[in-house]
Amino acid sequence: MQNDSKPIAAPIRALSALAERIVAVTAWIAAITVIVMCLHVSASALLRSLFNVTLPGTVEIVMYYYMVLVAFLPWSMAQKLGEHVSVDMLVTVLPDRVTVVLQLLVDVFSAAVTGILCWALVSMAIRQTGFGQIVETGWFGLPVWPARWLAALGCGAMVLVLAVQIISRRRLPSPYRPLPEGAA
Amino acid sequence: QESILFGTYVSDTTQLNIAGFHPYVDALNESGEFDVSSLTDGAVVSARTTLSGLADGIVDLTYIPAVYYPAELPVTNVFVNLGATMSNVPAAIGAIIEVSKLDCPQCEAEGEKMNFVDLGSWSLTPYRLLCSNPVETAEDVKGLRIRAAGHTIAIVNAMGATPTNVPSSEVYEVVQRGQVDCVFAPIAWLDEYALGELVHNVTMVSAGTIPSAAAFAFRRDKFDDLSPEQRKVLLDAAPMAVAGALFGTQGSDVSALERDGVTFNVTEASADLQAVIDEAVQAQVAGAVETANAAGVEDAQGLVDKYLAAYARWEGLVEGVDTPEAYAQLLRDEIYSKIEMK
Amino acid sequence: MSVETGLFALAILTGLLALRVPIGIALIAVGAGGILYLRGFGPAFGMLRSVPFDFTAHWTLSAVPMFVLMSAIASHSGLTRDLYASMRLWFGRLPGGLAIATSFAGAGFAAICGSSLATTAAMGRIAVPEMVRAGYDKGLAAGCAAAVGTVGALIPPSILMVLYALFAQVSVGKMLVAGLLPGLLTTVAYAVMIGVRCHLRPELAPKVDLSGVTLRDKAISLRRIWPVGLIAAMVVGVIYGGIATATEAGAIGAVATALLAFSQRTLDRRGLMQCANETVVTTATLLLIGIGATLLAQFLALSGVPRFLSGALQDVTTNHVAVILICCLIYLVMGAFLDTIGIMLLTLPILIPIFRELGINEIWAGVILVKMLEIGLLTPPLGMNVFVMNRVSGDSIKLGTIFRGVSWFLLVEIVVMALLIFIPAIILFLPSMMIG
Ligand code: NA
Ligand code: NA
Repeated sequence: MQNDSKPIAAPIRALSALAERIVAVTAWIAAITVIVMCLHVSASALLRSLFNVTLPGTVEIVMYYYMVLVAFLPWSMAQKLGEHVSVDMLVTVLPDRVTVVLQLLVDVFSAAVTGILCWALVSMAIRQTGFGQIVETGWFGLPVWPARWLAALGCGAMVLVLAVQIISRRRLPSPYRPLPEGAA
Repeated sequence: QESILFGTYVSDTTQLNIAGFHPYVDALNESGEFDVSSLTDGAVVSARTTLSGLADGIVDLTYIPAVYYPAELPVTNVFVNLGATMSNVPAAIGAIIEVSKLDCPQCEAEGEKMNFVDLGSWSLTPYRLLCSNPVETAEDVKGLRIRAAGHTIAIVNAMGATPTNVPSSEVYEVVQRGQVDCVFAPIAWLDEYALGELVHNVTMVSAGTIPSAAAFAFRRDKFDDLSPEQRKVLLDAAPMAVAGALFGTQGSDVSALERDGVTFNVTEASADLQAVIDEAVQAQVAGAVETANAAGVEDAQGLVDKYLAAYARWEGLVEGVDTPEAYAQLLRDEIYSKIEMK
Repeated sequence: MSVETGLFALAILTGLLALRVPIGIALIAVGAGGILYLRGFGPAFGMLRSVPFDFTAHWTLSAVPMFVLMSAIASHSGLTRDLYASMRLWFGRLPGGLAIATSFAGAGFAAICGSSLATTAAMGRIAVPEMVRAGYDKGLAAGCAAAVGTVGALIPPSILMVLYALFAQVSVGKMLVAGLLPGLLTTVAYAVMIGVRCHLRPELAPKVDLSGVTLRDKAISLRRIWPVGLIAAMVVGVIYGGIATATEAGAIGAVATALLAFSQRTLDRRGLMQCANETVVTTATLLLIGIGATLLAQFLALSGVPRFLSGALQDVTTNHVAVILICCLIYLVMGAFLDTIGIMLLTLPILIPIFRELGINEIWAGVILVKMLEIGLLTPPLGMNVFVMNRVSGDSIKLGTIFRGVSWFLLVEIVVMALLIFIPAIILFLPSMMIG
C-alpha cells in the first residue's frame, strides 16, 4: 500500500484503493466514537453527581457500542501503519532478504488467523441476529446484535488490508516500532 | 469413565457452588461413572458466554443465569419473569422444576435448540426492603427513594416511591450518602455489600425474587451419548444438589442478620403495603405472558397457569420441610422419580 | 488436564513471537489452537465466536480508551512547559536542581497522563535541552527524563493498572489509588539521589543563575499550573472518594484537559481529531492483545498449567515475598525482550491463579509487578523509555549515555522496590481507606 514507481495490475490497484477507503472510514468512525463516548460518559457522571439524574442505558451503550467500535474498527488502520505490537528479538540480526520473506510469511499467517476469527465473528453475528439479542438496561432493552456485525466488520477490514499487503508485496519490513504515544 | 468439565463464572465463595455444584460434582465422581474436573470463577466461561460455551462444548456442566439471556431463552425466562410471585422460594423452585421437567414441551424444545438438559433450578432469596428508617405501612414508603432493579422497579413505582437503579457495586455508596432510603434486595446483601453497617431495618414484604430456571444444566449432545446408567447418575444426584444450593443460599440470609454488634429491626409489612405490592405483582404476571407472547413462546398463558397451580400446591408440600435432605426427598418423590428418560 | 500440551503450546508461542508475529495474533492462534487440540473444533470455534466480543464489551475496560485519550491530549498540548518552569523556580537552586525539577514536573505530568512513554517524551522535549544547555551531564539529564517517565504508570491515571485490575478481577479504583504513594515515593527517592549525587560531584550539574527569583515569582508560577493540579486532584479524588468510576474519571479528565488546552490555544479541532485517531489505534491494538490473552488464559486453565506451575512453585516456596521476588526476576528477564503490556498480558493468566491460591494480596502484587514492568523500560537491551528519550533528543544523546545515566536511577529503584515489598502498607494503606 505504499507508493511505488513499479506498475501494478489494475485489479490489485482497485483492491488497494478499496482497502484505503475502508481503512480511512473505519478509523474515522472510531475516532469520532471515542470523542462521543468521552462526552457521553462525562455528561452521565456529572448529571448523576450534581443533579442525581441517571441517563438511562449509558453503561450498556458504552459497553456494547462505543467499546466495540473503538476496539475492532481501527484494526485495519493499525495493520496499515504497522502498529500491531510485535516483539523484536531474532529479526534484527537476520539479513534483509530473509527478513522480507519472513515478513511475508508472518503476514500470511496473520491473514489466516484473522480470517478464521472473522469467520467466527460473522457466524456469531448471524446467530445473535437470529435471536435478536438484547440486553436489559433496566429502562429498555438495548439491541446488541448490530454491534456483533460491527466487530466482524472491523476484523474483515484488517483481513482485506493484509490481503492487499500480501498480494502487492509492498510492505517493507517496518523498523521496530514502539507502542504509539499514549500507551504503556 | 466419562470425562466431564464443570465450568462456571460463579465464584467458589458462593453457596451455589459450595453447597450445590461441588457436592454434585463429588457425587458424580464417587459414582465411578464420571471423572469431573472443575473450573470456576470465570476461568473458561463468563456470565455472558455460558450459554454459547455450553452449546459449543467448551463446558459440559454449568450454571445458566437465564436472566442474562432473555432473547435466547424466552421459555425459561417465563419463569424468571414470574419472579415477583415467588416469595416462598422452596415452593417456587419445586414448582418450576415440576412444570419444566414434567409438563412443558416448550421447555424441552428450548433445551434441544440451545443444546442443554435442565437438571434443576435455583434462586436468590426473597427481596425485602432494607431501610435506613423503619418502614411498615403503605404511607411510610410513599415518596421514598428506593434502589431497585429488574422486577422491583415496577413495584417501587406502584408503591408511590422513586426507583433508583444503581449497580449493586455502588449500592453501599448511595446508601451512605443518603441518596436512597431503602434498598430492595435479598437480606444476604446486608452481608455481601456490607449494607448491614448502614441500614438496620428490614421490612419483610412479599415481593418475590429472581429465580434461575434451568440453573443446573448439562450439555445435551453429550448427555445423549451417555449410557442409561450414566444419565441415571446425573439425574439421581440432582435433587440433593438443588436442595443443597437452595438451603445454603437461604442460610446466608439468616447469617446476614447475625452481624456482630447490630440488632436488626425486622418487621412484617402492613396489610395495606402488601396489598399495593400484590397488585403490582399481578400486573407482572400479565406482563410475563405478554413478553413471552411477543418472543413467540407457544401457549405462554397455559405455561403460567400451570406454574401458578403448581406453586399453590408446593406451598403446601414444603410446609415443615426444613432440611435439605427432606427437601431433596420431596423433589425425588414429586418430580425426579417421574422423569421419563428417552 | 494436560499440562504437557499447555507447556508445549507456550513454547510454540515463544517461537511465533520470535518470528515477529504480532503479539495479539500469536496469542489468538495459540489459545484457539490449544483449545482445538484439547476439546475439539466446536469449542475452539465457539471460543473464537464469543471471547473477542465478551472481552471487549466491558465496563471496566472502557477506562482504557478514556485514559489513553486523556494522555494523548495532555502530551499533544504540551502542558508540561509551565509545570517544568514552575518546578525550576522552586527547586532550581538545589544541587542538580534542574534534574530535581524534572522529577517533580514529571510526577505532576504523570497525574494527568496514563503512560510512561508519553511522560518521558514530554519531559525529554522540555527539560532535557535546557539541562544540556546549562552544562548538565548528558547522562544525568536524559537518564532523569527517561526514569521519571516510569511514574507515569504508577500515579493515577494509569493504563497498566486498569489492565491489571481487569485480569486480576480486583477493583480498578483501588488498583489506581494503590499506585499513588509508590509513585510519589519513587519521585522523592529520585530527587534525593540527584541531590546527593550532585552535591558530591558538582561538575555533573553546574549551578543555574536563579538569583533574581523571589518568593513572589515562585508563587506566581504556581498560578499557571493550578489547572493541571486541579485536573489531577479531581481525577484521583473522584476515584478515591468513590464518586465516579475510573471510566467516568478518565472521561471527565479528558474533557477538562481538552478544555484547558483549548483555552491555552495549544489544541485545536484538528489536534483533537489527531489525538482521537492515536487513541483508537492504540486502544484497538491493546485490546487485540487482550483478546488473545483471554483466549490463552482459558486454554491454559483447560490444560491445567497454572495449577501445575503453582504446585511447582509451592514446592520451592510458599513465602509471599519469595514468590514475588521470583516474579520480579521473571519480569526482569522478559523485560529484556518484550514491551510492558505484552509481558503483563502474557504472564497474568499464569500468575493471577498462583496469587489466588497462595493468598497473596493481588493489589500489592499488582503494583509491584507494574513497578517491575516500568523498571524494564529502563534496562537494556530493550528499554523503551530510553529509546524514546534517544529519539526525542534527535539522537544527539546516544543510547549508551542514557543507559549509563539511567543506571543511577536503577540503584534507587532497588531501594524503592525493597521498601514496597517489605512494607506493603505503602501500597495498601490508601486503598484500604477507600469505601466499598
Ligand atoms: Na499516570
Ligand atoms: Na528492558
